[in-house]
Amino acid sequence: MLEIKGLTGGYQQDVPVIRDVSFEVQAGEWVGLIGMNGAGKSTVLKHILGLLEAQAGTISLRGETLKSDRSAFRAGIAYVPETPKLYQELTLREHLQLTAMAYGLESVVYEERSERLLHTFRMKDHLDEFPGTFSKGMQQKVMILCAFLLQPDLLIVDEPFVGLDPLAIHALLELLEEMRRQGTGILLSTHILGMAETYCDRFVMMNRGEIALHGTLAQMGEQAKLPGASLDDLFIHVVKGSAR
Amino acid sequence: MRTMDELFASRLRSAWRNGLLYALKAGRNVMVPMSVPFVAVGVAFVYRYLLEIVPDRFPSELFLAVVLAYFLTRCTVRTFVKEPDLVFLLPAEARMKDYFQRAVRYSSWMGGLSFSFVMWFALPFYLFELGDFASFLLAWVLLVPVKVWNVREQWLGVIWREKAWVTGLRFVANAGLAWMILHGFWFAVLLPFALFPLRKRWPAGYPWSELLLLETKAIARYLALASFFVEVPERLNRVRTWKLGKAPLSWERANPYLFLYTRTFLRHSEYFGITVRITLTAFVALFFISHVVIGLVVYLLALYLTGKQLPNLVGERQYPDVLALYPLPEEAKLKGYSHLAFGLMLVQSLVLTLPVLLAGLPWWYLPCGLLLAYLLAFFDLPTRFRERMEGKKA
Repeated sequence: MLEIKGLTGGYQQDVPVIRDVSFEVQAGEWVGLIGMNGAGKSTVLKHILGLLEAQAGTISLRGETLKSDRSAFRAGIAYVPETPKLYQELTLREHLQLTAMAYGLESVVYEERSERLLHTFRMKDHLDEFPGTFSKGMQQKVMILCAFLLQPDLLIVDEPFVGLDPLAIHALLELLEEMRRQGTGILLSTHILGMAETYCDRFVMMNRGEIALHGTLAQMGEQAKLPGASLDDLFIHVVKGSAR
Repeated sequence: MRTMDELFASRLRSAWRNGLLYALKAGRNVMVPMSVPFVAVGVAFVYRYLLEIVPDRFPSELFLAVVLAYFLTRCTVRTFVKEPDLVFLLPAEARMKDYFQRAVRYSSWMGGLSFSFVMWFALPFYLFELGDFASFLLAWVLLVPVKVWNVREQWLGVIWREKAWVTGLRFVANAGLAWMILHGFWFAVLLPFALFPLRKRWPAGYPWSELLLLETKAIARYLALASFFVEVPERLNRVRTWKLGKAPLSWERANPYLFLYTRTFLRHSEYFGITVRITLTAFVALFFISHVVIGLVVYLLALYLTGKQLPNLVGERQYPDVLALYPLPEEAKLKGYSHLAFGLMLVQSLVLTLPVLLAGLPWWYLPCGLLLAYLLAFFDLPTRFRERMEGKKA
């Protein structure tokens, strides 16, 4: 479904931050994007979202690229960023309404989904409040609510657990599972390796802008010549190996 | 390592450097130097006209005293505090008295300077209505120290967390003082200084959050002014938490950007405030104007200025990244933007029709205003919007 081939890119034209990155995310699959700070995870995500222009390589979603059909490509992706970025002038209710309008959601579907999400994340009492009064965790919940209001082909989630209370983390994981069952592909960037190991089907481990290991845990163990290793062990192996 | 004195001086230099950079950028914008003489001549023309129609029994002394009292009371104390100061400078609070004293001294100078501008702007009115140049000079020399006193009072009000009514009281006192000085009782200037010993002294600690908020507001005001002439990337956003309807309006449903821009306009204090001020100024001016052409110029100028400030509203830097991810064409932004601009200018032209009719000016100002609104919203603004988008892509 999401297909990335030979992606090279970065923030400046002649200074690539990521080099020759290729991987796929299939429908109903949960892929973990793992790496140290500065490994290039967020740069990869920004390229997929079209916030950065690739220097080389292609990114397609169900065969469409951003150039071939911008609207269709965008409509297929929902995104929860690492740092909540909200419209300071809009209330929580208006954030949801704007998202629903931008993605052309039917009123009935919007009502039903928003009601359920607000209840799940205990945000119903804050519907008419502005993000300026929200804690970081609550702001992150607003981003999650907006993303889950849609049923996209691909959900990109960047460090979603930071700042969330345990109840919200539990609810988020349940919703991600539910979306996966409904056929949404999930690309999760995280540092919480234990959680990634439990939930993800496959992994892409990045180091210094390149893919160091990829595949299932077993496949990565074989690639690193550490059969049976945990995700933690593999991560340390990759980081220490590159340091040498 | 920097001392506190050096820290203040360095922040002051940096603030002035930024201000000068914006001024230079604005100077490079061809429209700015070109429009300055036109605006100056226009203001002078309207000022002169207003002076000629001041009625004989107009309470000029009281009027000027109230206007001056407003500018005396309205003070800004620039402390240049920054958010990280709450972490890094808080432990040094006990040693920051000099830093803040310098801030108050600097603000007093700037307050005196800005008040002098107001006084000199009032000079024609003074000469026309009240007295000669020598008495004006005396009033100016006496009122500038009153302004300095106000800046200090403002500072003490902030650090002692005084209630708003204290500022109200100060306004009344200023009005009384200004009236007495304009009336020739120059010794009234001594009154505030007689009150000095009664005032509470410098505090032991500082209300950092309030100081930070005030500094943020001051910067936001400067940036809002700068954004009239040049694109300002780091515009600060103050939000009015006004409750609007719970559901989108029928015409917003099909146009998400209109929904977003309308709320940004109404709740973003700078955009809304500027439009209200433009409308109110034109509203009051139109009451006093009987000349058909001048009236039309004022009427259309108000609409033009409102339309002119709107491109800043759609500057994408102020919105989160998700805006760029919506599966909507770029033209949808343009549509939302044009519709909001037309709606605003429509409301404004209707509001301004009231003083037009009451002042006996012709009714056809309204269709002229609507025509200008239409041309600005659907031809001029889209062109500027596209230029901005192409500039961004390049």
